[in-house]
Amino acid sequence: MEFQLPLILFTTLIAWSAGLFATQCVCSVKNVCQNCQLPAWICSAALLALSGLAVFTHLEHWERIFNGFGHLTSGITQELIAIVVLAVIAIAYLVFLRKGDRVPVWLAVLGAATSLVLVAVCGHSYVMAARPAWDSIIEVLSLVGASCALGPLTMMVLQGKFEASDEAGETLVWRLALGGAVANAAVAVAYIAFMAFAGSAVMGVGFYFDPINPTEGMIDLTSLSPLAAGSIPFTAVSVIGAVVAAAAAFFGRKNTLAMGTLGTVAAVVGTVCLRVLFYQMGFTGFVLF
Amino acid sequence: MSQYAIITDLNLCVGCHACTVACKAANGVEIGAYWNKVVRVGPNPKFEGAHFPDVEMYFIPVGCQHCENPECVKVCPTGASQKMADGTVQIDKSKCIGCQVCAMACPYGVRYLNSTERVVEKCTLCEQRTSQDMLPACVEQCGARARFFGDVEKGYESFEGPARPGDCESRGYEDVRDARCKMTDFVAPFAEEEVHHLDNVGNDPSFAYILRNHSWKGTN
Repeated sequence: MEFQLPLILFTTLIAWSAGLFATQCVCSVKNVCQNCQLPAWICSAALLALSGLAVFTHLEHWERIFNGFGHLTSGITQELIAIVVLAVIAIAYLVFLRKGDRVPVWLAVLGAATSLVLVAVCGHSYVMAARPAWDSIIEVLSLVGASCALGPLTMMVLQGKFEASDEAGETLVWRLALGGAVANAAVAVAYIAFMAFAGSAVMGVGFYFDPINPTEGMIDLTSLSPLAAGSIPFTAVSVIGAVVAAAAAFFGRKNTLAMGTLGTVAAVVGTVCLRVLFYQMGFTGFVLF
Repeated sequence: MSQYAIITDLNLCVGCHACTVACKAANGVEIGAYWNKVVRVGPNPKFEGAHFPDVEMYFIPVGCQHCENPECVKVCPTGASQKMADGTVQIDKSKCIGCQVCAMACPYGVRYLNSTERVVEKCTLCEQRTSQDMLPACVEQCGARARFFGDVEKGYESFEGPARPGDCESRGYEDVRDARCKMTDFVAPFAEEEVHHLDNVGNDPSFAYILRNHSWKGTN
């Protein structure tokens, strides 16, 4: 199907925002990176706001968004609920930050858990039996993986900017970034592999012809693959982005600002390309049109 | 509970597109959108390695299948897409926010964004007509009398199409327009395994297609 830029930006920004908030929550539990807490919160909130703007540009009638909203089986409703819960937790978190108190451990744990749930819910709302390449838990994990890479890598940047010397914090964030980026690369490759095999779920009908579009050819079943000519640039960039992010995390033990920036940019580019690929592979099992 | 649907005898369908045109005219479907679309499947070899003249093909009209378990209804955030008491799937345009997730969740690609009203639309099974005891436009105007409208819950006997003018009480316009024939009286006999549905991914499409002496290009 045609790719939806607002939704690509929305999912990427949500993963980034939630990943960063979850990372700062983990840092808070370990009582490290205290100087990064407020900048991280502001960055996370800004990313969440941008994701909201992105998704609103997708809606044809955003002014009707509360016009009967609340159909619980809908992924969009579930996303909205998760975002509202996370926003409430984030505001409570900010109150403790501004008071100068240490954020309670229970609140930080709740914040990290809710962040991951939000990303998983966002990913899950695209799991549809109608589209074989989307119908997998690996699609959900690919978004959670992006979150796990983007959050700690961004925290590395903030550390380089706002933390003079915090050995324990650097070690924790470096471990989170390395683990998250490696996991992200692994699930990105796994999801691309899944999409490559999803094409076999499409049953061809042999020759067919759509008289309403007489100049259009049949859909080439071999094009329904991340390794097909039109898709391979996005496949390559999404893999390279994820691998570069992992490498930047690996070499970012001491040079957090430069490597964190490189890793974050690479992870964002890789995630965006993977989401573009996700739409390119979003064919239905019914391939006639 | 009813489940209104259309059964099409593909051995009768000649691919004339009268159903597509009738649908456009009756529902004001905008240019570029097709609530009902006819596709030619074939020519395909009748058996492995066959060549002309051992080939076969059929035409298949495709629109909303008014599924028993419609995915489009499950994913709609505002409840704009609804499963009605008559079994049809309808869209309350005043609730639609145009998120198009329903179009993504539909296995058949039969939902369209109306670019003027900025809401999603699709086949309504001509509810404005069926509520007045008329046939859906695509059934009424079918050039081959291949389409029949009825209630799946009441069995094949309930499916009706327009009667042949010669079978009507008079040749008056209203008599001809309102006269019906039973599908079971009109179409050639068919076996249960010759009744097919579009591929089912858990949505249970209610529309059916009769295809005899041809290989159905699908799993159901």
